[in-house]
Amino acid sequence: MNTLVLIPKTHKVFYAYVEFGKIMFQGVLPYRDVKAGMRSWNMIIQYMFDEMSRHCVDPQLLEVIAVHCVFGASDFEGPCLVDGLVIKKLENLAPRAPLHLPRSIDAIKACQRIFDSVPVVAVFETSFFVNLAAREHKYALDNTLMNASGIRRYGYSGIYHQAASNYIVGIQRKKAVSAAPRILSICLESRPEIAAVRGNRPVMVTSGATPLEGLPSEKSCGEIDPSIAITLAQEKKWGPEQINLMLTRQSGIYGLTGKSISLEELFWKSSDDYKLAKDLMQYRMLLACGAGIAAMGGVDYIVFSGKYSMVGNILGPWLCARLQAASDDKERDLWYLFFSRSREQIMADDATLVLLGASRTLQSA
Amino acid sequence: MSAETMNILVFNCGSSSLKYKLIAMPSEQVVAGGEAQRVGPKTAEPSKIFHRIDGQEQVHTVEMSDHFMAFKEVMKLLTADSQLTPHAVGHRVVHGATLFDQPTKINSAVLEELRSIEHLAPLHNPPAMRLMEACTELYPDLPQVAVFDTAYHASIPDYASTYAIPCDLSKEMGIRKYGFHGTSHQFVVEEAAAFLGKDIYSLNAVSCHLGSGGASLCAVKNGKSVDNTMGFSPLQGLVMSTRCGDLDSAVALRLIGRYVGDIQSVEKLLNKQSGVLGMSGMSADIRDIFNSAKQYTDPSSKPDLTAQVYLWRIRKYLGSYLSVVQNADAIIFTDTIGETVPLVRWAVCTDMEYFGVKIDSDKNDNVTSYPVDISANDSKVRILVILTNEELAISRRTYGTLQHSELNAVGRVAS
Repeated sequence: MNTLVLIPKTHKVFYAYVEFGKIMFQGVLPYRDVKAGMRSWNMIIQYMFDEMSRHCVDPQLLEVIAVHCVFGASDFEGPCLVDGLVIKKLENLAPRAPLHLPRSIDAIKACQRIFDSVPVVAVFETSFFVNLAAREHKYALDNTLMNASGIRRYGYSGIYHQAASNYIVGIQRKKAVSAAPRILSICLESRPEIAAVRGNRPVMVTSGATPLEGLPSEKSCGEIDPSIAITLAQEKKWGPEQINLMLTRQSGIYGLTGKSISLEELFWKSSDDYKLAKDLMQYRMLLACGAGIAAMGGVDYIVFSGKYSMVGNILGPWLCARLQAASDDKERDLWYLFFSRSREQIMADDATLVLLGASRTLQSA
Repeated sequence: MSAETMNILVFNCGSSSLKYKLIAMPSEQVVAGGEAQRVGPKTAEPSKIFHRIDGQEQVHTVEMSDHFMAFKEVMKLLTADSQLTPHAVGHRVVHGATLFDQPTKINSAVLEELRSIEHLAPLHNPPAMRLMEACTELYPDLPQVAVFDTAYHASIPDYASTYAIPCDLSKEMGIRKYGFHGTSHQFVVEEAAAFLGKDIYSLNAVSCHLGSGGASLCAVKNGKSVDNTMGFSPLQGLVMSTRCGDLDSAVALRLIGRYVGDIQSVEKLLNKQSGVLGMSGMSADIRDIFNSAKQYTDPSSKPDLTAQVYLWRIRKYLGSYLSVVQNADAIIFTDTIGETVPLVRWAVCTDMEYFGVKIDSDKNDNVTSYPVDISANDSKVRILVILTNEELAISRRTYGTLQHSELNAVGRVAS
C-alpha cells in the first residue's frame, strides 16, 4: 500500500513515503522551520504534498497515513485506525507523555483535515508490552499509588521488537520448528532497549515507566539508584525539572564523554576518551541479556534492529562470547542476526495490516 | 595479652540498638553476646540489655539515652567478669565510601575521614562513630578496628560502578555504586571456597544475601566482588522488606514533584513504605506473604503478586550475574530468607539449565545442617546454603588487621 509515515518527535518530524514496503523518499523537518501553532502542522502536511510532487508521486494515490505514538499506556494493544474515540483516548493520555503525544495528536488531526479521505493509523511503541506479566511490569511500590498513577513498566521500542520477533518466528516456521523461539531482541537506536521475547510474547524489557529507565542512551542516564534523584534534591536543592533535564539531556554517552556522539560513533571510533562509556554500555547490555535469558529459561536467537543495528557487528561477537562462557554448553554456537527494516517500513506494514483487517471486517459485515 | 589470642568485642550498631558479641580469637569461640534495645529517646518501654553468656540470658533494665551510655553499660557487664574482658573492638561500619577499601585501625585521623563521609549514610554511620568516640574516650588503650560493608566492593570495576550521569557531577557528589552487605558476602564466599576445596582466588560465584530486611546479590569473580545489586545507597536492586529496589528515576522525580519540597516524605515512601510491605499492604516480611497463600504447597500454582515480583527480580539479577562471572562454580544463598526459605531457592534456580544450574528439590526441602549443597548431582554450578555470620567475619578482619599492624610495628622496630 502507498503509505505516508509521520514520526513526530519533540523538535522535528521524520517522514517517509512507503510504496509496498519500499521507501520512495524520506526526510526530517525541524519544527523551528515552520511557524508555531496549528498552522504549522498544515504547513508540514503541505510540505509533504510538495515532497510527493517533487518525487513524482501522485498524492491521490496515497492510501493510508501511519502516525507514530510513543505512548499508548495500557489502552492500545496494537496499531489502530484513528477515529473520534481514539483521539479522545489519546488526549486523555497526553498529560502522561507531554513532550510526545500532543505532537502526534496534532499530526493526526492535521492529516484528517487535509487528507480527509485517507485513513490514519496510530502505531504505538508501548503496544507490544501491554500484556507483559505483572511480575515484570510491577514496581515494588504501594499498590494504591501504582494503580492511581498508572505507574508500571511499559517498554518503548515495541515496534522494532515486535517486527524483529515476527521475523525470527518466520524463520523458525520455515525450519518447521514448532517451539516458540526464545529471542533476545536488541534494538540499537539513540535510546537502545533490550527485550526478551518468547515467540511473539515479550517477557522482559529494559525500559520502564518511561524510557529513562534501562540502558543508558546518547543523552539519558538509564538505570540509576533512585536515591540519586533524592540526594540531588536534598543536597543541591535542585527541583524535579532541573534533575530531569540533567538525567534526560546531559547524561548517557554525552555525560560520560562530554561529547555529542551517537551510539554508532561510540562503538566504531576507537578513542581512549570513549572507553569508559563503551565499556559501560556493553556491560549494561550483558546484564540485560543475562536477565533476559533467566526470564526465558534460555536463548535461541539474538537479533539486532534499529537504525544502528550494524553496531551488532561489534556487540554480537562480544556478547555471544560471554553468554556462551556463562552457558552450560560451551560448544553450542550462539547466533546473532540482523533485522534491517526501518521503523518507517515497519509502521507502513502495520498500517497496511490494520487497513486490510478493517476492510475484511467491513466485507464480512 | 599477645596478638595471638584475644577476645574481640564486635559491635553492630543500629540507629536505636547495639548488638555485640565477644569472640575469642583465633579459636572463634563465642564467649558472650547480647543486644541493647531502645537506645535513644525514651519510648513506651524502658531500655534493656539482653546479655547472653553460656546459653543463659540475663535482662538488665537500664536507661540508655544514647550509644555512649549503651556502650558504657555493655562494658560494665563484660568487665565485671575478668574472663570477659575485651582486648580489642571491631566495629561494623556500613559506609566507607572510596576512602576505606579494607578494615582500618581507628585513630583520630581515621575518625576525621569518617566524619567527612557521614552524609553518605546518615542513619547508619553516625551511631557507629559515636561508639568509636566513646570507646576512644573511655578506653584509650583498647585497639579498635572499623570493618566496612562497602570495602569488599572496592574491586567493582569502573564500568560497573559508574552511573551514566555527568562525570563532573558524579565526582563532586561522590555518586557511584558502592555496594553493601560486603562483610556478609565476603564471609560466605570464603566459606564456599573452603567447602568446595577451591582456592578463593579462582572462585566464581553469585552470592545471594537475602535478609528479612535488606537483600542484595553479589557477582564474584576470582574471589572478588565485581558487582552488587545495591548501588549508591541500599535502595537500589532487589525488592526488600520496605525498600522498593530498582525504580525508574522518572517515578522518583514524579514523587518529588508531588510532595512539593518534602523530600523526606519521598525518601520515607521509597525506603520505609515500599517493597514487600508496600505491595502486599499486609507485612514487610516476605515469609508472611508466602505463608498467607496456601498455594505455595504447589510451586507451579500462581503465587501472590508480591511474591512473584520479589522472586522475579532475584531471578533476573541471578541471570545477569551468572553472565558476568561466567564459568560459575557456585550460587550461594545466605541470611534469614536465603537460609530458611526453600521456595525462594527453588523458584530462582529452576529452569536455569542454560547456566548449568540444576537444583535438587529433595535436598532443597530437607536442609538440616550448614553449609550444604542442594544442587543436583549433574549440576555444573553448585548451589550452596551457607549461614552468614557477620560478627565472626568482623572478628576475623579485626584480628587479622591487628596482627598485621603488630607485625608491621615489629618490622619497624627491627629495621
